[in-house]
Amino acid sequence: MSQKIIISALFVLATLCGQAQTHADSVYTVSSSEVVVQREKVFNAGTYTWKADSVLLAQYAPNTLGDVLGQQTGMFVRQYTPGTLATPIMRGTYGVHTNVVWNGFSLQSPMNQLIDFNLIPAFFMDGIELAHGSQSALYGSGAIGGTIGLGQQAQTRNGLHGTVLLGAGSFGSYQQGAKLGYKKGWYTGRVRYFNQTAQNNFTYTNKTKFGLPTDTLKNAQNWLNGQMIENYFSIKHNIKASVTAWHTQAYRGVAPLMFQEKSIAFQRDDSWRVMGDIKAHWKKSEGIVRAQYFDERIRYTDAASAVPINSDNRAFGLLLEGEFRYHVSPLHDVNFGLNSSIFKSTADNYGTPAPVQYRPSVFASHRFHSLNQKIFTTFSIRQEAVTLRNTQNFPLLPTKLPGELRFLPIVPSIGADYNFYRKFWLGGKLSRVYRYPSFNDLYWSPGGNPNLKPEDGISGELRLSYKKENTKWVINTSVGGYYSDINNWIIWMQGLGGIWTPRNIQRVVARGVEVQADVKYTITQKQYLKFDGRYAYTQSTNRKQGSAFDDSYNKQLIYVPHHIVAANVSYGNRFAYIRVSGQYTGKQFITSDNKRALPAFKTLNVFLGTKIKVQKTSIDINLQAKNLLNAEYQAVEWAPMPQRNFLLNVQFNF
Amino acid sequence: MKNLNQIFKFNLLALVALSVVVLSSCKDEGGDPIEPSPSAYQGAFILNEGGFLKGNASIDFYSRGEAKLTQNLFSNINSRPLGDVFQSMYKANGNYYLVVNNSSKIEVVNAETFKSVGTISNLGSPRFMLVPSASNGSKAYVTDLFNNVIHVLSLTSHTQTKTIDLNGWSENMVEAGGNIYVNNWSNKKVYVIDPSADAVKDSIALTDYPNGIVVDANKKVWVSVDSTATTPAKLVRINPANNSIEGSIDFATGETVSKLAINGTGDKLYYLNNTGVFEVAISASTLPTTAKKTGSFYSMDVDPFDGSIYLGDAIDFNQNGTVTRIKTDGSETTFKVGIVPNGFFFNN
Repeated sequence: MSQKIIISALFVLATLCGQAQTHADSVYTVSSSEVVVQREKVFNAGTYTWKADSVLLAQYAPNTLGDVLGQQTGMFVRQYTPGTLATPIMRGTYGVHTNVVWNGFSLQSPMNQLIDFNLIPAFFMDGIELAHGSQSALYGSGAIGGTIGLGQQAQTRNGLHGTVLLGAGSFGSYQQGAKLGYKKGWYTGRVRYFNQTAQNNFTYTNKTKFGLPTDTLKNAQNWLNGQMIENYFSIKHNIKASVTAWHTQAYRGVAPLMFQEKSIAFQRDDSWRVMGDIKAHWKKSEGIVRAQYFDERIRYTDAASAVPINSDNRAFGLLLEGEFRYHVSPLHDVNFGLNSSIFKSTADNYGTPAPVQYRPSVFASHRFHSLNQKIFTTFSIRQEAVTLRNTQNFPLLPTKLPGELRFLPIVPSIGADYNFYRKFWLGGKLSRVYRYPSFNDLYWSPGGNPNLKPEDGISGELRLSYKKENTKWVINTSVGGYYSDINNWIIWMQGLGGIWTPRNIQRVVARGVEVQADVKYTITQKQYLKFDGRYAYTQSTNRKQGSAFDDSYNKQLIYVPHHIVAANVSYGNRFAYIRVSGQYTGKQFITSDNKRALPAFKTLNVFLGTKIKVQKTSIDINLQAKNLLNAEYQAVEWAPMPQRNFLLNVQFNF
Repeated sequence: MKNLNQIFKFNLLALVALSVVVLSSCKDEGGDPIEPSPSAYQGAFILNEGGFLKGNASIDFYSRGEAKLTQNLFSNINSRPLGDVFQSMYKANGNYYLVVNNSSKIEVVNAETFKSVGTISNLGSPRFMLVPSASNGSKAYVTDLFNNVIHVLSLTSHTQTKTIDLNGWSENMVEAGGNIYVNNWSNKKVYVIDPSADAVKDSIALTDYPNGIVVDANKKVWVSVDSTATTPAKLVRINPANNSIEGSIDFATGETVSKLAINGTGDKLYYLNNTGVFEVAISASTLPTTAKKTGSFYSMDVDPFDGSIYLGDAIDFNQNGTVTRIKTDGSETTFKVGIVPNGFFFNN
């Protein structure tokens, strides 16, 4: 029945628009040159975005996503010591509220809803884009603080091309990477490999010990290894397909915090992701069908824990999505999609039967732009449903629903950009946001709370921008503010019998101001000077008081700095470049009553590089001088960060 | 005349000198506030365990008479943080021993000045300390969460001299009849240790985890035992003469018990359950149904010197907690303390 309605609706739309102009709007035509052709790029009116260009990504080739985003975007990437779990703090919300989307699929673990930024090598990505704020209407649960899009781009040149990367740095850090691409006729493919080892045996002042001795960090060694295989097929002139497999493995020591005598904790990560898609475009429409399977496993051992830990947490997922876009007229585009996701986890603490969660959703968007390209609007809506805890064992592909289906909030979103005066734009967005609890929240035994409601709220933003582009200058600057009010915020608290359990107890209001300026001056054709800077002021407070003595009421959430600045000045010519990159991370409170805080810290990194061209090949030699001001700081309390250190890398391109 | 003048001058000088002596001796008598006499710490130490892996444990002191709170004693006097997860405290040989669980150490401070006199490190996961009376303050036992031992420390050298093998998670201890009674969670038993041999000599099996242990006026050992799916929580009385259970009072189904305490005269037991803090006479055969105070608390203990009940509330476990003191006359005071108040130590 509903299928029939959709088909007839599409038919009506198609006939109505058939009379209109047949020239397809090329703004978002699926083409192999687009890095990340995702919904948020098309239906994104009123969204504050950031995008890494290929120059930046080459400079960060030996680093991870955590380094790129933490140093460049004005978000706070919280990590203990280098290479350990890195999660974002964006717009006053936490890692679980920021979605990372790889080629259209969320990478959030169903178990803890986190993505470890230090497990994603920048070398594997041809595009990194960040959309601040809510994308719940496009990507569903969890996309509250922001959405990060990652993707690969098929090689455009024919033949065999590639890059070999070799890096070496302070504290026993070494990187080896290679990517090798091939294109001929209907086939394009690439293999990537990245390997990183680091000892992280740096010294630091131990502020917890008598006499403030200089200690050497131990058990902070880590190993990260990844492989990726991409295959792109041009089946017909208008049909393309791709299959990509990505394997990541890591083995990391969990370094002791300053007050701990030692640590013998280790974490082993292993994940496999395979995704495929088929994209087709016709005169006035496009269709995408994509699928992803993943198997991720985190093993953690700590023989010195209160209760010796030897945990094995594994999750599987099968995600299918179909999307159909129709150019109704040159001014109107619509998008319809269906998503069917199923997750299963065999983590020790979830008990039996292993939880299986089926999460179907349906989403739709409309986009309008005025003939003079001065007004853009988008409207999106999404409805997701989720099954409750299964009472019997199910395979990942069950033949019936693995539990009763519950509908989550319907999420609408409306946004607009308006070129109201010369180069000035006004943008705004209003949307509902939500986050469905993670497997840990729901099923962890003991303590998991299957009766948790989704976090649910609204979010709005306004932004004034100035955009100018000519042969000499590219200026893009903006100032904006946002306001989010999220109810049923989930907090883990110790309950009766000392068992920690999550409850929907807080209401969080996050608001702030974000200022951004990107200015590029082209001195000559081969010579540029560039400044880009981002500042975020964030006020994220708890609006519910648990008891008369609860001093967390109206206080800033822990780990959310009020002030974050990231700024770069760079110069480049044909032979060399220099990038001076500074970050300021403001004071972050570490107790909910705001009585204790970690001091603000400044880091200054300088990137220097030279390019040597030999016929059709080139060699890039890059030096990263990190924490040049030798700041002694902690991003997480009692976890030391290294002082001045260096990383040298050579990239051979052919 | 000249003589008289000289005498006057001399007297004046003497007076000035004398007054200086008197004044300065007055100052001495007044005492330095940083180095209080032992009697200055008359009251309750509040043990704030802090957040796990946050390294923000602290110790506060609440004076019994003045009702005055002094915060962060250890870090203020010793200029460094106490550590991670402050678990328990013991007094012996003019020192306080502060057991800091997740820092694997015991901080030793002078009981008069609170100045650090040493750190006993590398203790695994220390929980509680006890000095067997027969050792005359020369050795201490320290229970451990995961190392399957009881550490034996020399209190003269402040080092670990040996260990007593004891499988599983050992918790709090008491001394009765010359033996040491140790709660052991993993094995759901109370073990009996002979301090002259440093060896386990007996054990008493229970239905579930023993989470509290005290000795009453009759020198009987009381143990609070948690509930399982099939057995209720209970208070168990052990006779140290034969190490057998001679009495037991069951809680209602679904009720919990924790933080067992006893008053100074050893005739009244106190505990926390689901709904609040309760008081029961050691002679009782049933449990009271009316709480002394209702609410959800993280810690509770009774001042043996004045009978006040101290209740700790950790609020959200991530901010300064509160302590409520209920005096025997029923009057209550609530004040803010450090992060996650998990216990108390009373001194007179």
